[in-house]
Amino acid sequence: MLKAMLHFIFISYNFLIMKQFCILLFFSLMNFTLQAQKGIAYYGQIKSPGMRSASGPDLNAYLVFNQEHSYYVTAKDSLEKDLYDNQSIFKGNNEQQVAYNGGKTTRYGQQVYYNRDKDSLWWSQRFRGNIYIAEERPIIEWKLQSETKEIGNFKAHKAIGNFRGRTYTAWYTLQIPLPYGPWKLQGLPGLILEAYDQKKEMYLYFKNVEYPTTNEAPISQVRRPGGDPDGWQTIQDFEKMERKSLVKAYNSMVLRAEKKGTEKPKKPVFQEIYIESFE
Amino acid sequence: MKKVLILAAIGIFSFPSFAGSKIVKNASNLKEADFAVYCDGVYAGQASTVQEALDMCN
Repeated sequence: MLKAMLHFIFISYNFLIMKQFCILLFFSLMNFTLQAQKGIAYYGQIKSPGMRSASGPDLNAYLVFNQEHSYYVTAKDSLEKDLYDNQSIFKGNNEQQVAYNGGKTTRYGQQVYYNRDKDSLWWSQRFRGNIYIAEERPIIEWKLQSETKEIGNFKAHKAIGNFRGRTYTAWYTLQIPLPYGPWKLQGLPGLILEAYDQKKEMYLYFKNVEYPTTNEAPISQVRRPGGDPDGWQTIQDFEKMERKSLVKAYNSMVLRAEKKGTEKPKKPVFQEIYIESFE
Repeated sequence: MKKVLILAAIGIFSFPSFAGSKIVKNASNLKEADFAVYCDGVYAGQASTVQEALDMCN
């Protein structure tokens, strides 16, 4: 009798342990599946500072992401069928014109990597050669609006926020409840599908999304060609670079005006020259 | 009726204000107004001719 009771207790105990183990295994698998669930969103990016409309090069872009991090890339050779000429002149709706010299795309493109655990962004762009910046995630104080619209098969909600001198409207979807977005825009309760500033000088538009996806595009740290040096510059370095270029450009313009005997040129306005103006 | 609608649509979308952004590759299309010049992502100043824009980046 005692032996039977001991046997029963032993089996019950084992059953309880097994049950707990199964529950633990189930939640671990769930967590793993959620973390591993990967998505890819395709966008178009038109950057046209000073043009008062979306009138710059229209480049393909994609954002690949999971629960932990995201990777955005545009101006990448492999994403463009027709590479832009070395010099292109774009015309806006209001007689503004701009000339871009130098190729628009590169092997690795302009990239933004966002890691949620580290709460930081790493990014690269062309600025007389490739520059590489690491910064704490910029906090955008988004104001959520009640307005909604359909983008693709998604219900998108409107939000408005300021980021480096411009006021952006972003459309995000709660159907993909992750805080990512194209370029450096992030921090909403759902994936940003479309975003633009008031003048549409930075215009990011939605093309398609696969979530979940089996696409093999890696969610990688910013990649760089072999010849580029290692290391990262700060956001303050970037601001200094931009400011310095404005002073240099203005000084050249004054010299040219003196040579031509024309009027002294107006000083360039930071916000009309660069998308991120720090003012 | 269908033809009229198609012609109307062509007419509307051909109107300059609908043209939006466009690449102007022919220098003769440019007005004499200054335009911003960027060399490899860096603002270089204002130019009034394509040649001047090219020179600014060299």
